[in-house]
Amino acid sequence: MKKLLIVDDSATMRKIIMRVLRQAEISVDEILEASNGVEGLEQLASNPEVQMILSDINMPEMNGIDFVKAVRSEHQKEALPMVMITTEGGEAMVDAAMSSGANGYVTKPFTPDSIRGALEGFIG
Amino acid sequence: MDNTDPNKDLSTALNDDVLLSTLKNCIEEVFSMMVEHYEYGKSTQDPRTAAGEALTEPEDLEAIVGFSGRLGGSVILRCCEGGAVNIAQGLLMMDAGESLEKEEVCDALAECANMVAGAFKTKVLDPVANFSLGIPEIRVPEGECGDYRCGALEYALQSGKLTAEIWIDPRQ
Repeated sequence: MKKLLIVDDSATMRKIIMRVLRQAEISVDEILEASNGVEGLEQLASNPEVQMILSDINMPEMNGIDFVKAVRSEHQKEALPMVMITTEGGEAMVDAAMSSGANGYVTKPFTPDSIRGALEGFIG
Repeated sequence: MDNTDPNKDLSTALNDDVLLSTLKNCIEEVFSMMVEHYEYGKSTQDPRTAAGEALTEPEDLEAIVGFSGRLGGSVILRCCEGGAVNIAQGLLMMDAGESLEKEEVCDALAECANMVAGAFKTKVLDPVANFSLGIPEIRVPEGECGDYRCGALEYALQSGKLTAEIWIDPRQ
């Protein structure tokens, strides 16, 4: 069963991502949601079978960079694919995300093709 | 890695023309990909006659995203309730007949401003210095949002007008 976690403080963006996943014909059985890194960690603790995480960076409570680091260290999920979906496409931010342990990066606004491209290889 | 040039003159790199033309590019990038049905109207650089001042109805909305660094300021989107609904319907790929709660409309306008501000930061702020963006806020339009307004852009949506503005506030 493919279970995916979306972490974004905007409910609108979480809905958009879900719709775009459908448009991109990415098959997922269940999508979990969280509105910041703290909630994301709670979801992951309750659902350790999550197979992939899509996360925003600029969020209250715990941002996406700290969330990735926490998933990698505290939850010891070193192999869990994590793709950042964020408005900031600057080189420094991409570097920060990738060096914190993210596996991919998509800049908002995005198309179904850019989502499909970023998720390719991680989820069918 | 910091690829910015600390000696670059901010007033040259981030003059009003550059900021406003970049904002226009960002609006068009976000709206063409995710909102559709918009039409550019006009721009104004008079610092005290904000196009947004025409929006004074209690149901008008303003989404504001602050930026801070060597220069502080805000990216602001203002629109009437109908325009905000258009934006929400576009972002959520909804049909015109589908209804939305006010909370969903506000969240969509905030996310729209967030995307515009993120693109703005990437295109014009990041190459000059290190900046950070705030979390988007929604409020009733307040008129002045800083010390100085670089300019405003006006767009027509299906059900109303949208204005986008850049304000500079050295205190941020």
